[in-house]
Amino acid sequence: MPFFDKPQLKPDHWEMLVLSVLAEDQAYGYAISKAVAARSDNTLTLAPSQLYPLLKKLEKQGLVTASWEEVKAEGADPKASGRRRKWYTLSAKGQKRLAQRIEAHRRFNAIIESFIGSGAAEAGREPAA
Amino acid sequence: MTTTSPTTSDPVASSRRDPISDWLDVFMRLLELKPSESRAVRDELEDHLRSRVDDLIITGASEHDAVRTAVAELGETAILAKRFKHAQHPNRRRTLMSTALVAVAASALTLGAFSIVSPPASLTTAAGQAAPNTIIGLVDPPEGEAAPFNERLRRYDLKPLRLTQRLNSEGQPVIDSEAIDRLMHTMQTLVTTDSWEDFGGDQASYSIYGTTLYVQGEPETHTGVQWVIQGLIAEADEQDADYEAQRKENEAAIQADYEAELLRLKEQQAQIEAERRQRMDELETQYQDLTTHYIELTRELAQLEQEQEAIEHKIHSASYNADVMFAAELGAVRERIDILERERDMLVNQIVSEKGAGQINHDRVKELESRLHDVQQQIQSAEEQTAVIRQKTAQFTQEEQNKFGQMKADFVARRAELELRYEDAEVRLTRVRSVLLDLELAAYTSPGFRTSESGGPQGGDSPFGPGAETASR
Repeated sequence: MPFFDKPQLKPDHWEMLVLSVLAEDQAYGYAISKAVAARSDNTLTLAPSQLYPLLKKLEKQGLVTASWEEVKAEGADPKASGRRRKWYTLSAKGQKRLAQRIEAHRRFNAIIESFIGSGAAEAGREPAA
Repeated sequence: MTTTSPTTSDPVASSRRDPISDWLDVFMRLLELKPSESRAVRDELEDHLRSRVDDLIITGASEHDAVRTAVAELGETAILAKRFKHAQHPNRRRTLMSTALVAVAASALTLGAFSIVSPPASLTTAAGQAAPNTIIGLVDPPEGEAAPFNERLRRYDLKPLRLTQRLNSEGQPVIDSEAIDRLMHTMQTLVTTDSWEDFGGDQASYSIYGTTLYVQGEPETHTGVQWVIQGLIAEADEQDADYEAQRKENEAAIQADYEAELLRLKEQQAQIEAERRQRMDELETQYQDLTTHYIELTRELAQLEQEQEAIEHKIHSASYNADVMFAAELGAVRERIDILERERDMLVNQIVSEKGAGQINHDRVKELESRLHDVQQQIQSAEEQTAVIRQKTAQFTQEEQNKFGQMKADFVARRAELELRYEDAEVRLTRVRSVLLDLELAAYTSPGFRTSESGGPQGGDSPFGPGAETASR
């Protein structure tokens, strides 16, 4: 299935995936992108140019909340300042939005499945000799 | 890497200066955000980049390659900045659109250009029902107006909105998904918000195929959708007009800059040409002087060679000249010696003869012996005179040779010096000729320009070329 190698997801899908990742645990941007890649066997790539604007949008809509922490490299001078990392946590509103998205997606899939369920079996069958 | 517990303390300083910091500096300048917002975006992106670099280095990449890869993965900087700006301030665009919509709506109400409370009459039957149109897509409605399929489903042409488009895999133009999201977010926010499925409603929905928007909803929704689209078209027209005015202004500024630059280059070229000509004149004068000097040296050298030959001849003939000079004196002495020797022989014979006689005349013998003694003394004196003459000849020869030898040495030294000057003159002549040739060649190969005789620069007179004024964006 060559056209499935790199599926083009709509923004709504990306939103659902990011909310799903955050539903499991809080995470920061790079960790979210790694989680998406890992859980899709590297089929899906959430580029930073998509990820961070999306996170900003989710934050503005109140679907996620953010907090900062200071990160230091191992062996770094304890007195030296590190860099800042922004952690995202799914909010109650975000959980509700995620539930809606999942439900809509399942309905959509069910509709599609009703079309291709039996047809696919027919299409995949070897023609009679 | 270790982490501390989440905190909301003051931002910490950015990490050391490196390519990542440099890239972030450029990126933040493109973003044009307020300092507080700018710091948050920068810190978050820096954390992403450095985390990614750490991962890449762990997998074996060099630090240089890791940084390059991490930055490249962010995509084109300008596009990324645009997306961030939009995410940071989506309301700015929305506010502008809403303002434009209000203005357009007010104008429309005043002029009666179209109704915002009911669909156009052409789209409904006399009974007020939607005109059936079973083949969607055959009828192109006026800009922003709906082509009805039934009372609830209508089609809107989005092309006049000039939204960002791209070509799909079949080569057909489709509207960029981000543009669709922005449009539909505006639409759903402004028009019967609660009815849309995206906002939890069940009365309105939409789909987009290519550049056509299909909306299913109540008449009120359609009226609002049409109103929004008409407003956006008006805004797009206005933006186009602004853009066109700005484009013309920019082109005029560029043209002015180009002409000023052209003038400056012409003046510069003229100055270079004048300097070149002056330099050539100087070199030609120098060349002529050198040539004259060279010819003089050649002549002087030839003359010196002749003089040297004459001196060498004098050196060779010095001995002969001395012999000639003292030959007479020497001959006279030799002749006298011969006479004296003959007289001596005669006296010896007479003495022998006297002594052999029977009766010796002793007085006669004594006289003869006395005369013999005198003659022998004279011979000895003449011999000594001969030696003196020979010595004088040798001395004269030596003096002559010394004198001309010194002259020869002077000539040799002078000739060597002349030959050096001659070679130096040859080298300088060659060098000046080479520079002259280069300068002449430069006059013919000067790029882009000829002198004022050939009338200005090559190429077009406008940076935009023919028909630039009609060029589209």
